[in-house]
Amino acid sequence: MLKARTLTVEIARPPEDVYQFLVDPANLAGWTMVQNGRPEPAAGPNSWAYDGPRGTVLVHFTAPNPFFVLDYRMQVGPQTIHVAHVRVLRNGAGTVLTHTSVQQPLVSDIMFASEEEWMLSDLLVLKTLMER
Amino acid sequence: MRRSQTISLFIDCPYAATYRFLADPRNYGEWAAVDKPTYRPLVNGDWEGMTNIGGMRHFRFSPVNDFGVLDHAVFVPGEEPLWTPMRVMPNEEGTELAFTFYQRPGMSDEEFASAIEWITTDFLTLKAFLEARRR
Repeated sequence: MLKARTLTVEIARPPEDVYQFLVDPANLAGWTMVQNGRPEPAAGPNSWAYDGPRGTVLVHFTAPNPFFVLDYRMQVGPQTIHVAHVRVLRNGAGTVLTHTSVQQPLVSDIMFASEEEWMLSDLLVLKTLMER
Repeated sequence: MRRSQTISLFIDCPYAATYRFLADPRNYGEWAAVDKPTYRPLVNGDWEGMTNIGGMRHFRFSPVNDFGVLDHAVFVPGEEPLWTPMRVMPNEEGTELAFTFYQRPGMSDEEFASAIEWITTDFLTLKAFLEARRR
């Protein structure tokens, strides 16, 4: 079993709006460290490449779906560096976003803890962006 | 927005088997706080049963899907169903489960905290049940 951690963030916007924004891979550059997204069809039907802080990152997304599931897998070279299960939940007129990261075999505990700190700060940026 | 809390836990049972078990409404009475002898299907596809939180309730479940989504609504017959999000996700040979509970209208903070305790107990029952069944 791999260690998993679930982060949650409340966003004062309807889940449809949050999902519509997040389901477009081009928007990832708007609230995370990666830039310059472009489709990478050779890697998969929902795969995009981005310029990351340390080179090219490939992200494999879940196909659009009615459950507002936004799982993704990040890859650098041949190696999977991050796997997460994400879902946008309805909470009245607002949204609860849940983000469950699964620590990958080559990721140390310290690195995983640090990644989760970064992830939470990214999610708070997303919240601010969506509530603006 | 309602107050919410997400409970997550690891279950040492493969994802496919865990999903198959939880996606079948017949199995709900095995682990949730519903009185098994009173738990039965209704003609409209919903289920009904006595709960330990205030009498007869109706239950509605998500359609079977490829995303591990197991949302269900517990509601007073005739009232608007309040959906409770739940999902299972693969974690190597086991399963990660996440469940989000919302504070209901009229529910005090103490009742909300108490409900979370009850639900956590339900999930530990479910975990023990699935892990024992596997052996």
